[in-house]
Amino acid sequence: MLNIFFTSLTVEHWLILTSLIFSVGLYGFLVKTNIIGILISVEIMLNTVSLNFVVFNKYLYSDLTDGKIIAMFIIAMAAIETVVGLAILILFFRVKKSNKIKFLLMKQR
Amino acid sequence: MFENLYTSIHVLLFYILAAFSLSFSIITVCASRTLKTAIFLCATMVINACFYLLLGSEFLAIVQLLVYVSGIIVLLIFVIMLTDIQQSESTSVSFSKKLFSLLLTSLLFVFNAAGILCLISKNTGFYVDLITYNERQLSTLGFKILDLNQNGYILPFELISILLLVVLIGCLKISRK
Repeated sequence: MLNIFFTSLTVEHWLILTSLIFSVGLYGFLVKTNIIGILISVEIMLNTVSLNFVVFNKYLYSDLTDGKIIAMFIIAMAAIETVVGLAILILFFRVKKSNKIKFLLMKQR
Repeated sequence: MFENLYTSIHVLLFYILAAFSLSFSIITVCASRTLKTAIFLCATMVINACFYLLLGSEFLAIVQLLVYVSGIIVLLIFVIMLTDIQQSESTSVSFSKKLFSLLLTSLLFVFNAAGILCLISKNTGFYVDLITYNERQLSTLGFKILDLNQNGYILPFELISILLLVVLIGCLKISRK
C-alpha cells in the first residue's frame, strides 16, 4: 500500500500536504498574540484552500477550469481581507499604541 | 522508459517542494520576530506558485506571484515597520495554550489523514500521470470568466471588482485622520 507514495503522483499526496499546512496555519492562528501574525496565519490557510481547489480541478475534471477560477477569486478575497485588516490595525495602533490582540478585547473607559 | 523517468522526476520535485513548503510555513508560524514571519510567508508563497506550475496552471502561478509576493508582502512589511514597538512575541504565550493548540491541530490533521488514507485503500480512479500542456488553456479561462451564459462567471467577477473599489475607498476612510 505504501508503494503508491513513490511510484506516481496521486491526489492523496496533495491532500495530505495541504491538510498538513492547513493545520500549521491553524496552530499559528491559535497561538499568535499580535494581529499581523494572525493575519499571516489566515493567509497560509487560504493558500492551502485555493491549492486544494486547483488539485481537485486537475484530478477530477481536467478539461474544465472552474476550480482555477474559484482559486483566483480566493486569492482576490485574501488580498482584500489583508488590506482591510491592515488598515484597521493602523487605526488601532494610533488609539492604543500596541499591536497585541488582547488590547482589542479590552473595554474602553 | 522515458515516461517512467519523467514521472519519477515529477514525484521527486513534489517531495522537495513539499519539504520546503512545510518547513517554511512552520518557521512562519513559530518565528518570534514579526519581520521574519513576513519574509518566510513570502518564501511560502513562492513555493506555492511552484506548486501551481507543477499542477499545470501557469496563469494562477503568475497571479500568485503578482498579488502576494509583490503586493501583499510589501504592504505587510510596511505596516510591520510602521507599528512594531516591542518585538518579543513568544514569551507572552503560556505553555499550556501552546500545548492545547498543538493537540487540537494535530487531532485535525489525524482526522484528515485518516480520511485520505481510506480514499487510498478504496483505490478510486483519481490518477493523472503526466502534465499535458494545453495551449488553449489561458483563452479558455478568460472566456469562462467573461461568459454571460449559465455556467459563466461574469457576475462574481463584476462583484469582485466592485468590492475592490469599495475596499479602496473604505481603507482610505479608515486609515486617514
